[in-house]
Amino acid sequence: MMLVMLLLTSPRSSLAQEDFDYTKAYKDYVFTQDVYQKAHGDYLLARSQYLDAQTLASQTKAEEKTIAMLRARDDVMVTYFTVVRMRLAETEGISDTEKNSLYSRLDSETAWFQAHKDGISSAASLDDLVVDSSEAAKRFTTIEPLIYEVLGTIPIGRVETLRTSINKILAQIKTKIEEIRVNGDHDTTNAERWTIETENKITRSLDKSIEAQKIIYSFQTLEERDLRQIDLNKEYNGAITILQESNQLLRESASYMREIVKQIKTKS
Amino acid sequence: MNPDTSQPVPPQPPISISVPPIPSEPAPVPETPKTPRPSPLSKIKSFFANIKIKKGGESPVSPTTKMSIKRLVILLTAIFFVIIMVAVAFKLLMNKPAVVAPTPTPTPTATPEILVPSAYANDEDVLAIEAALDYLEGELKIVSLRDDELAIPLLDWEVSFEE
Repeated sequence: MMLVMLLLTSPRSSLAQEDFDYTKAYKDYVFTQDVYQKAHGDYLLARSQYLDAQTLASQTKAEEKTIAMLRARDDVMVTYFTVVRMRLAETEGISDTEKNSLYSRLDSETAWFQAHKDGISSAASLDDLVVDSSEAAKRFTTIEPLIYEVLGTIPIGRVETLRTSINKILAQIKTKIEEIRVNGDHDTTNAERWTIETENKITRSLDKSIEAQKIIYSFQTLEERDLRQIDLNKEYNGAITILQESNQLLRESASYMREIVKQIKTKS
Repeated sequence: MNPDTSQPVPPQPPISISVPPIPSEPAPVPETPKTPRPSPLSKIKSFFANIKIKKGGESPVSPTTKMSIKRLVILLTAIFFVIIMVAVAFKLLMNKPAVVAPTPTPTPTATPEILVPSAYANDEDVLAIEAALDYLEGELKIVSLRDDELAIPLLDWEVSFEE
């Protein structure tokens, strides 16, 4: 938790970046989830006892346990945003502009939940706590599109990285084929044909990625009333399926390139 | 009168011939009139005739016999049905298609392609490309496009103190 706070207060400090990575952030997240689960169990028990007994003692206990649960819940959200942020930071294939935009929005939400946690008074009544909880619940609903946007951008970056690698290898192959063709000591007809097929596969993969990207980016423009009608999880899964198709096309293009290498290495 | 002689033949004393007495045959036993042996059909007829109850009178068959007859009829019926069942079962078994043992389908074995290395088989650039492809294919296989561990946390957002 101290590391999380350090990262949040000075996110670009070299010390934090060296010491704090996705794995550590994820451990923090799992830890806060465990704390929340216990606090939530205590809250449910205290609530039940209060509703049964309606005594001052049971009310005090319910207030105490609710405060602990609400704070633990905010902690889960803070560490969750942190771990998602770290995953985004460690993913290649995403432009800095895009990353910075997402960092900014994630940090804003992190700060909100941190402030919300700090704002929960120890002397709050049960009614106050219900209001506090409702505020966080409302905020959570509005940030769901942001979370899905980040979760969708990460695999888009991964596929983009792979496509860049493939394009790089294809460029090397094309250079080599051209060299062989100039030498005139080896037939390159088949290899050139396979090159065209490989390019087609890569282009189709790119089209698929753009299609998935459109779905993910559309989450930015969703308004509150849209959120009631749209199933974000379903949309996100649809985008992931398209990205899987894109990745499959890249695999096929890699196998084509393997064939080109074979053509070069053997006599026809 | 002798035909060769015309003289009459003087009368001759009578010839007595002693004949040993013939043993007398046993006196024939007076045959008892043979009753015709009853055929199986007539037996059954008489059997059923016996069990008929005379009009206005009592059955000539005792109740014990009646019971044994009933049992016999039941037993015969049962045997009859068992025979029918066995016959049907036998017929079904005979008509069952013979089990054909699966014969393994021959798996086509590809004839190994004979590759003649070209002048570029050991080319540095080509080998480098091949190595890069090896790595890339590995990456393409293991890439994860779904971070399940980063799924949105399930939290209780409904806090209330009303029943």
